[in-house]
Amino acid sequence: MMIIVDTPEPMPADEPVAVTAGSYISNVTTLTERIAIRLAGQGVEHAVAAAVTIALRGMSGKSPTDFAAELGLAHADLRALEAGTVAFGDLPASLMSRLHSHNLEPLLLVDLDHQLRGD
Amino acid sequence: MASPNRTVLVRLMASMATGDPAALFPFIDEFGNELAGTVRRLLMSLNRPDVLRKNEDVDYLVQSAAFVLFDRSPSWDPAGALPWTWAERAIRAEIVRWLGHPAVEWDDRSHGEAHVGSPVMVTPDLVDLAGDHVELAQLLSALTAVASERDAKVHLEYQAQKALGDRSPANTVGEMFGLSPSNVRQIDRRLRQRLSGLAESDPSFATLVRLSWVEAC
Repeated sequence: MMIIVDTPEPMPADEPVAVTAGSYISNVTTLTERIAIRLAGQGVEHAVAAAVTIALRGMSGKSPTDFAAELGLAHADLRALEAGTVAFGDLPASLMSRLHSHNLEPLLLVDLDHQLRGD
Repeated sequence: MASPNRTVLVRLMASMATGDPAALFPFIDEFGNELAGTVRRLLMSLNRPDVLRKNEDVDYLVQSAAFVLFDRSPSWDPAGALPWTWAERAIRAEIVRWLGHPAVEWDDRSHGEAHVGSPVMVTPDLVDLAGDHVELAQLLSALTAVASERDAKVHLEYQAQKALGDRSPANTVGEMFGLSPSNVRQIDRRLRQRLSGLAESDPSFATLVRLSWVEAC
């Protein structure tokens, strides 16, 4: 499947330099967008929603089971979210409430979601 | 590398080898400095210190390097070299691909006095062109109705740069107008939505939906 979208731009991170040894600050929105585009290329229906879920789990540092429990979800539900079976707008509130605290920019993600889905 | 980091490295590479992209986040957090060191060194070897000076571009390439390792993680031997050393040629190839291979025809004007100026605006005199193209006239009229002069210029320049194949149109346009790339994208998105709304609500602007970026809004 050929997907044509705006390539995520290199965007300013909060100074992507070392804060402490082994702690690099990257632009997580761009990284999430790039994962979403890859997933869309694999045919995932709600690729941005899946990528956001994956990103938040990755940044949590928790195992899927622990992360699902923290969100109040069954493990199978988390798997479904990461498989892209749920639309971005229908992601659980417990997940969406973490966007800002993890520096994910909702407007850019919604825009990419529209582009990928051709809305 | 100290053993605790090595343990983390092996664990994260193993996660990536299972195809779990979530591992990219802690991997970049933990080893982004090493990846950035590799990226910077490769950029210097490619004689591109200009890219090196842009933190956002270096960060983008750090992510690209992480994707390179992600894709190759099943083949990595934990007892062997560090991943970014092991995959350096692949990382270099990815950087070269991102930089592009400029292929230009000889132009005497390019070989006289060197002058490095601002990015060149690609939008020609649209008002003149509008005299011959009804849709362009409508677009300019619609933009006057829904946007400030500056935002209209940002939108037109962004769409023109994209159409010309600029790999980072928001960066190019941002430099022209003194805006951040994310600002440029937000201005463009806002205007696309307004144009789309105008095309739906005002029949005299209905033909605007033929514009791909308005239709896609």
